Amino acid sequence: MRIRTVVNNETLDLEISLSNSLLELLRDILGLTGTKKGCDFGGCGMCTVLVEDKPVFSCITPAWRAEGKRITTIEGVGIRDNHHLHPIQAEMLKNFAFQCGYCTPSMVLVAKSLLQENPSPTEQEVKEALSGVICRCTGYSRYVKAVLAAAETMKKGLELDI
Amino acid sequence: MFNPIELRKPSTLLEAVSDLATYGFDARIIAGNTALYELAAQGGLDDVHILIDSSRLGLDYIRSGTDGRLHVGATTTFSQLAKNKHCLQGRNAALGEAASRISPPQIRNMGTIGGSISIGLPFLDMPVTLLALDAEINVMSKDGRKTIKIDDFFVDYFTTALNPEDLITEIVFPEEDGSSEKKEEERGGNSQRSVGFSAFIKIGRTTVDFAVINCAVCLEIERHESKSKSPLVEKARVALGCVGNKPIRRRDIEALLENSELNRATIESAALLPVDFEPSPSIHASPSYKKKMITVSVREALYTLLDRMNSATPIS
Amino acid sequence: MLTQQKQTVAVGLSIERIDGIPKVTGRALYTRDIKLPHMLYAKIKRSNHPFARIINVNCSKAQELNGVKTFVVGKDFAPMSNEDTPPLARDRVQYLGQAVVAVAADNLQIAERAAELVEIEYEPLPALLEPMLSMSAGSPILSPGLNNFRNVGNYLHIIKGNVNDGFSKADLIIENEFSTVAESQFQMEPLSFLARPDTDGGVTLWATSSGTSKVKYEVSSYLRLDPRKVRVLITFLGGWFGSKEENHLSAVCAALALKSKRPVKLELTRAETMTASGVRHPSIISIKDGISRGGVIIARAIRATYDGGAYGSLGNLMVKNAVMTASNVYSIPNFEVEVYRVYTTRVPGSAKRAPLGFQMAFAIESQMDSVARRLNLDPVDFRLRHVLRNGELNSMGEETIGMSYEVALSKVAKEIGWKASEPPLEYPWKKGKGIALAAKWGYSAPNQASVRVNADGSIDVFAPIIENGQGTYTGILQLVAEEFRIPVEMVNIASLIEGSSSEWGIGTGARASQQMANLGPAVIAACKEAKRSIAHVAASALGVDETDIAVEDGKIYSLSKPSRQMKIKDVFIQGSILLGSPIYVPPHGHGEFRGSSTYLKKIGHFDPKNGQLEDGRASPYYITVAQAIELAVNIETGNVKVMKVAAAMDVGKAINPELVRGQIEGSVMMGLNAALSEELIFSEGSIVNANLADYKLLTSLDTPEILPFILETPYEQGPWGARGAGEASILPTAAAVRNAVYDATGKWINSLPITPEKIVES
Repeated sequence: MRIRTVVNNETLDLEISLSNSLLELLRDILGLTGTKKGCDFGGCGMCTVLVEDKPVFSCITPAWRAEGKRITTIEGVGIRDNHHLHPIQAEMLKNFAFQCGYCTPSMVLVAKSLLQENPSPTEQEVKEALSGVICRCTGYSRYVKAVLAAAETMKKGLELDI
Repeated sequence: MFNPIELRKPSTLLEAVSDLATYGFDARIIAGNTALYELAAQGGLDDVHILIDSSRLGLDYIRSGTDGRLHVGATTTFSQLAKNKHCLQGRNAALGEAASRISPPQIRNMGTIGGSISIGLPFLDMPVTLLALDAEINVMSKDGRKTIKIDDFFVDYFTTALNPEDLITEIVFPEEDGSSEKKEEERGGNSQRSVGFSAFIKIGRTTVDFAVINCAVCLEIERHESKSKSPLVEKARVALGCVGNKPIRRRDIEALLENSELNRATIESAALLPVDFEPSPSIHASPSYKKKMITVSVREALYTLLDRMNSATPIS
Repeated sequence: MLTQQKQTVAVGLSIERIDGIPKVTGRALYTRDIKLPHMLYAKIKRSNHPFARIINVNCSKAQELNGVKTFVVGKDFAPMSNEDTPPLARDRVQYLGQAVVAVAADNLQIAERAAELVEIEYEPLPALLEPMLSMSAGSPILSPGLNNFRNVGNYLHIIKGNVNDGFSKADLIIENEFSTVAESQFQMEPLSFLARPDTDGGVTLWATSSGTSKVKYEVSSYLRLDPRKVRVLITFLGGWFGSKEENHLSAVCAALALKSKRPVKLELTRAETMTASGVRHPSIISIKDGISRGGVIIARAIRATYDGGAYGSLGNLMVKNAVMTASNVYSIPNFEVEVYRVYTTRVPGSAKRAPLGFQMAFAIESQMDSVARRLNLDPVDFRLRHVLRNGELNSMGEETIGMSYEVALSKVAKEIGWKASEPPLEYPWKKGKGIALAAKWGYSAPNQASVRVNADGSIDVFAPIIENGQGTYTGILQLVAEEFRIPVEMVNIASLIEGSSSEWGIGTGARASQQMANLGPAVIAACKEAKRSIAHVAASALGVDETDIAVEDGKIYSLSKPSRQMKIKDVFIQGSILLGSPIYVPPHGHGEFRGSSTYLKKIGHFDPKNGQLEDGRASPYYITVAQAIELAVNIETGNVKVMKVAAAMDVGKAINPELVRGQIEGSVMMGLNAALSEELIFSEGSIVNANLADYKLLTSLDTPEILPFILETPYEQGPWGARGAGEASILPTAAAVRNAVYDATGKWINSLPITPEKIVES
């Protein structure tokens, strides 16, 4: 079947199969391998993407649900340049938030969605937002620290814009 | 092997129920899709060839009806429930609480209230909550509309009172202040009405987990003007999940609570009523531990309710 | 010497990860992300019996399926001389989930369908699901050569003094039994392999593996291939933790590719990964202590039985982990430890962060608290009374060197407020504090490295480095940058091929907390040799002796006459390629400015009768770790909320302190998971909770405040004094939790995991 969807601000007409998951659409059809597969049924969070700015598990979202929707993956965050990382990415780097990097794209996306909705989250709110992404390398606390720091940076940035 | 061959995308309820009537067991309604692929992998959907998308039916709403009751569309997500003020206060507080305890956030963004009751899994958080809140399930099929009382809705593992051609349209909760028309008539038009409170308690192994025991309690108390008096329970619904093939009510506890004043002594005796049934074991917990957690969760729910009643503004 | 007096430019600094930008932007490639044109997909048919003879394998129905290309079975692989784990089962299956047949097809759906259609006829045999059953007389023998050993695959015994004498002199005997369960490594990236047949009859493999050398050796042996024709590439790894030690699926993937003459991708599901990775060995460990009237342990006997599961390829190394953990930390005059690793028909026991040592440390540190509390002594003071002092001999007769037990223990006790009196928590929560201490040994094996100096002063490193998240890419570059006193950005890992670690040189890879300690010295030696080769050329130009020359920050200068200097570029000869821009080549006669080195720290020998060290050292170094934990227990539900963990680890030298802290924090978190939640539950040999709904892992909402403390008692031979950092900090965590739960509730839980149910029901 054919669907029209918007992935990382690009409108795409795609041929998919009814049994495809959104994860398969992204990884296998579009080659956007920044979204990872970790379990198979929405348990680990590696496959998290944003649909209309809200985090969902793409491995259990049917690809056809992308019809008419705005999808954001890690490839659509920041600019792929050393100097133009999104503040969340920059803070994760600075805070040594991650190790193996496999969960990092998902962590960036859930943080992005959180800060968009709640620019001044408490530590508990950050932990809640990250709780759907399992990280096996770290103790999570550096991710939490990085998101809180990014919130500060982004608020300052916003003030400057005004 | 799960091999869907057609996707139906009805945009009206009539189209949807017509599709259901046409395809019956061959079709499945797709709501949040959070459990579908896992069921498929276990071979549970090998006979399903038609998918019916429920996302265009306009069923994602939460509104106070003209009848004074809360109407929640079947495809309303847990995230919506967890944020809506109607679901966070008074008689419906347990609804928002239960929704916010469904974890993690990605699942709250995807899963729907209708989906989580229609699948018929007794350990989920919505079934037990709706049972306590005395919800009604509005259902539509080609033959028309009907309402299923929540007490009649859950039947067995993966089995509910729904027929294959039925579509849940909405879940309706009693008036927020709890009193029904009938009760008012019984009191001969007396202006004294009852007021409802509810609480949801979930015990799991870790923070993000399915429940080992989940418990929802809804109490309707006589509206009182002074805080000094213990609230008088008029009606109680105490529901438990994770104990068997469907969520159950503790009618022994309800009977003890009704017409009693809710205070420490009542709560303790209610919570300590012996659990005279054997909760089903799971790999998460033994029946013995579950029994203890039933006592703990009922007690915690009742104390939570007492706190809420005491801090609620008395309304004359 | 000179460089050590100067401020360092790289070593000891928390330099940002060099793999950071690819990872944070999602561009980092993992094996699962790589596709090749005309690639086939593989699927494995697994055993549904814990123990059975294979009567017949019939692929004919599967073969008929459109799109099916090829199959491989057990007999397609040569048996390996010193290893009994077959990539695919040959004559019999020894655990449920064991790989039997592999199929390659045009796409994954067809491969899956084909695997379903493969028919295997079994003759079931009575399963041996527990070590006690497996060791009993008359049980079938699970590995050739074990006939006289009743399925005990590995056994180690250390004897010091005479425990029976000690027990008879003791005033009090305290004996406890501790048990641990199977856990999954649960690295976030499921196992994946990609093999491409090469034109010379060889194969190129991308594998989620911890080291290139091991894969090359295994694949070439199993497939009877010239090792030079097996090329191994290891991409970024999505976590490791031991998950890739025991699987031999690289060989299966390679065999399918060679047979089908097409690239083949083998991607395991999560549930398959949980089986194929092997599990943490379940264990039963009993400890008997004889204690004198003065409150001193004068005799200790430990007997540990580990369920090794169906195979045992790393069993020798792993039982060593157990005795090394048991034989250090405390000075006990009469001591004995016996370790058994027993074959059963369960999923193989494999490596998981500090394998076997973790279980042993849980038992010992639990026992220390049980004894201290029984004697009404403070657990910290009681431990300090017994810790080995530097210079003392440990239980293997090895001198204790460079350990910091007292410092580490005191540090974490202070940070957690060990003796502080604090207000009680609100009902139903009760606060508890627990402490534990341990030491992790350091595995030793050869590692090779080479560096090449470029005319612009930049350095190319060639080394078999594996990056699984721990940060070794960054750490190794820091060593090189320091040697040449240049920014890290000027160092490049040139042995990477398309971003993957290649099989350049011999290396141990990322395992056993040793990559920095074993590869680091090779890298530094290579740098020094390269500098000597520059000095050789520069000496005549500067008119000074070779030994008088330093290479620093792109400059070459005389130490005695610093004004005599030149740029690195000046030791090169300028040339050009046709009409292009000038290039710089090393002068004739030298070829290039390069240094190479192989590093191997030799290990001593043991007396086989009593396990006492005869010469040399048992381990090049040990890593001291201590942890103190503060937690709250909900005494109604049994839920545990860990609030704070103070964790000290003596790494000798933190080449990159933030990366080391990351290892401490990650180890603690994994230890908390094991302490509180992780357990693979088996039914008739089958894992019933191979999914995240039922195999619970802690999330960001469960994470405590972790305070990592780095101690730096140098390890003389380590790079800048560094030891390993990857595993040690998991050793004390579970016992510290158990001891804190006792402090809160008065209940001793002697089996892992310490679930809410156990706390309530005990």
